[in-house]
Amino acid sequence: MEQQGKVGPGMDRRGVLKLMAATGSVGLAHALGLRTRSAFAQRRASNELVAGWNLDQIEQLDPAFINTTEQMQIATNIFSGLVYADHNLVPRGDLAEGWEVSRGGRDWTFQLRKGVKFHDGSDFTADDVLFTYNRTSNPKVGSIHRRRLAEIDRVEKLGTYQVRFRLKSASAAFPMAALSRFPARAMAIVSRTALEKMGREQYNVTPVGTGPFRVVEHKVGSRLVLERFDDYFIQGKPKLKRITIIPVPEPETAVAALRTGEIQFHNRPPSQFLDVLRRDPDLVIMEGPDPGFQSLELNQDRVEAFKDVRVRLAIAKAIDRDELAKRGYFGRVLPDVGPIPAAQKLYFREQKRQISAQRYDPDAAVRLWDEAKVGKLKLTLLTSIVRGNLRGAQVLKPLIEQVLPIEFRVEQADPSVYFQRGRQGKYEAYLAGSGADVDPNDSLRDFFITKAKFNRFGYSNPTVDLIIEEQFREADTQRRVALVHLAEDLVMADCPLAFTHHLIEFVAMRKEVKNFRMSPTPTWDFSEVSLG
Amino acid sequence: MRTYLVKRIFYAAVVMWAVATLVFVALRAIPGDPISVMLGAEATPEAVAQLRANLGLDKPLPVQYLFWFRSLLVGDFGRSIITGQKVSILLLESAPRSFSIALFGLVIGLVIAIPTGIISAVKKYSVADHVGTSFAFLGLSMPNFWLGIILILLFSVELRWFPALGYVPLSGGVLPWLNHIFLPALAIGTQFSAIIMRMTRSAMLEVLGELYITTARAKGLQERIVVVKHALRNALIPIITVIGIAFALLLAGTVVIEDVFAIKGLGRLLVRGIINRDFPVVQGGILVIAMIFVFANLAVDILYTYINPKIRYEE
Repeated sequence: MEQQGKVGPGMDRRGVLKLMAATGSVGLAHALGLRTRSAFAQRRASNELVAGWNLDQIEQLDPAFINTTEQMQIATNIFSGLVYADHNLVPRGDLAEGWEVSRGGRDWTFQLRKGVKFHDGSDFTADDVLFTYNRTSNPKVGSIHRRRLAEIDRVEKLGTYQVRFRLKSASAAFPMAALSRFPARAMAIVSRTALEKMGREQYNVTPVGTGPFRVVEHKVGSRLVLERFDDYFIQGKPKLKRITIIPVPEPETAVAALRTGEIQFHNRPPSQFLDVLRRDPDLVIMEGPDPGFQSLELNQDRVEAFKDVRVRLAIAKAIDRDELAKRGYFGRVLPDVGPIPAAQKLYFREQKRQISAQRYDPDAAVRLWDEAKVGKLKLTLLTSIVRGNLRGAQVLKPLIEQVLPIEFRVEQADPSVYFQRGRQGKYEAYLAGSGADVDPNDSLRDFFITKAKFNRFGYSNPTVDLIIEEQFREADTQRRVALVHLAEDLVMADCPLAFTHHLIEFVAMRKEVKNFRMSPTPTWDFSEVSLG
Repeated sequence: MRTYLVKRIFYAAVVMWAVATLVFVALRAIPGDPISVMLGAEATPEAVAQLRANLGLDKPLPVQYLFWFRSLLVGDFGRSIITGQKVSILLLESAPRSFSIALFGLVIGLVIAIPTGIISAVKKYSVADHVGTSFAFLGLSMPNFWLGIILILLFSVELRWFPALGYVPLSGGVLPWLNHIFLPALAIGTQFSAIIMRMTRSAMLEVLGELYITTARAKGLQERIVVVKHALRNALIPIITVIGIAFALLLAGTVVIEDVFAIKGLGRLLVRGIINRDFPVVQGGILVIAMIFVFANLAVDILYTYINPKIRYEE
């Protein structure tokens, strides 16, 4: 029996070979494998760019609801605003040919371009500006950008191609904060005819704008196909005939597809693989500062000890930001101690890390903690996978714990829970930040005035409120810069948030992609891009 | 048989209703809501309240359930809360992708597993058996997402034989379709083949020890006929049972593999739906999957009667 077991019933060699051949996957691979390189050459000849996007699916393309930078980066190629932010974050005419300011900065009159068409062939006029304003500002629509229009008293149509915005009070930041195509979004001009014809749901997936590219196909989660809009109002643009955008959520796959040329561009290559990508001679990596800040929010409404500024400052001073950047974010962020990002060149101060009340100083942190007499604290740090914050939280925890007697429990939540609890202020400490802050107003006014849009951490300082409002209305640039710096200094000293870093935006592309310029907004405009 | 089938279909309907109701309740019981995802960090309380009302999420739960169930009875799965698209269209778009991968994975798995299992059993304790067994253990221990990445590095980045991502429907041509699903199918098929290979080996070993096999050999039948016609056919019953169950594993495997190969299939649709708390998408997706399982099991039961004519279901 044992011998039979060892030798087994006979089967001739040919039979064995036949069975083994049946498992021959290599042969099958040869039969099926198509040399993909020829397809890439074909794509180049047809002037088509295939781009990978760091998203699971493109969910929102209706400007009134776009809530992520990734989607904004796409929509900027479909829509136009009255103005757009140039590479120095200065507003330039987009659908507006020019504008005049009167009544001490309270009236803004815009001359609109003539002969502009929407992708569906309808004409763009002042009525579309009014329609977009009425839609976004209508509370029943539920747009998240409604508050950006809160300073507007009313909008008047002065002619077919002229509109006037009457503000409640003077504002220097108005065009960028409210009217820029992106990141403001509130006044990215939508097509009334298309919206009425398609309905909100379909418009959200295949929107119609006046931008350089029109949507020709959108299979949500699979691909979005944009095609050159031949009637685009700027002659000679865009250069590409077609852009296919594929959501690629898996970092390894994005890297592989870039290296094989299946995608020629990636909007946010995974930072852990940047070195691999840089070593590939066929690829180009670009980087630029992201307009936003990241911080550890300390909720004064939930933790009694946080009401003491010494406790908050002690935590801020205990954070070794360089170490956090290196270990938590692969060294791909800019460590900092305040809210104004490097992208806001005019307002950013290089020396901030030396002068800030929040600069890294573990000895001072211990002294402040002892003075406050809080003893040992147990805290829950709420975080999510959003923008690498989970890894950041896991590195931040020991960095603070080794300086101060705090015991953090890192709580990871789904984005839906994370945002919900953040909005409701249901957290003790929260790793989060801002994005698309092209103006100091976005960095300061939305966060640090009493009961501001994102002030869910219970911070209030009437002096700060006053200065932030003052900078919002100040028309003189030098005076505004001084006010912004003063407000930032006060906020850093009050420490409602322990500021940690600013993100850096990266893009990766193959060498054949020409004329791409990174914008600090950060929206990726493909109207000048070509394939060489 | 007919009574049996009617009974089974009735039970299937009850199971699906129970699944639908359970999913409806469970989704709303867990923390988080779709509005938070939809509006993101920029949500304001007013916008949240307005959108909740616009989407009917402010209505009492029983009312929402009745609306949803009434629509379901007329085949309307509703619309995605996040994108506004019809769930039925999303399912129709994504399901063929998952099935293509799962079915091709099944074929690859069987093509590898059945011959290897037979050889392992017939050549027990030989080099071929050891190689087959080692392959099975390797296949079982390799996570399919890892294997998927390795396959991409080898066949896409190095050899440039297959694309690293994407999907082409069958209507776009058989070769492009196979070209796109081969690697994901191989990634999930390998693990599947390991299970089936072990099952085939043990089932075959058991049958090969039976007296009727000795009789077949004694009457001078060719070994090929003994193995394929007498042994394999009798060993197939437990193998098919396991294939039925393991097909569920294959479909589950597509969830991760679809992410790796950037294919928007049923798995990815569901995972995204759960993360987004996109209730109609998750409810629709789970119902479809439940339906597949129920009918796959029914198909396996019916298949038994063809493989083994002794099996009959009572009227």
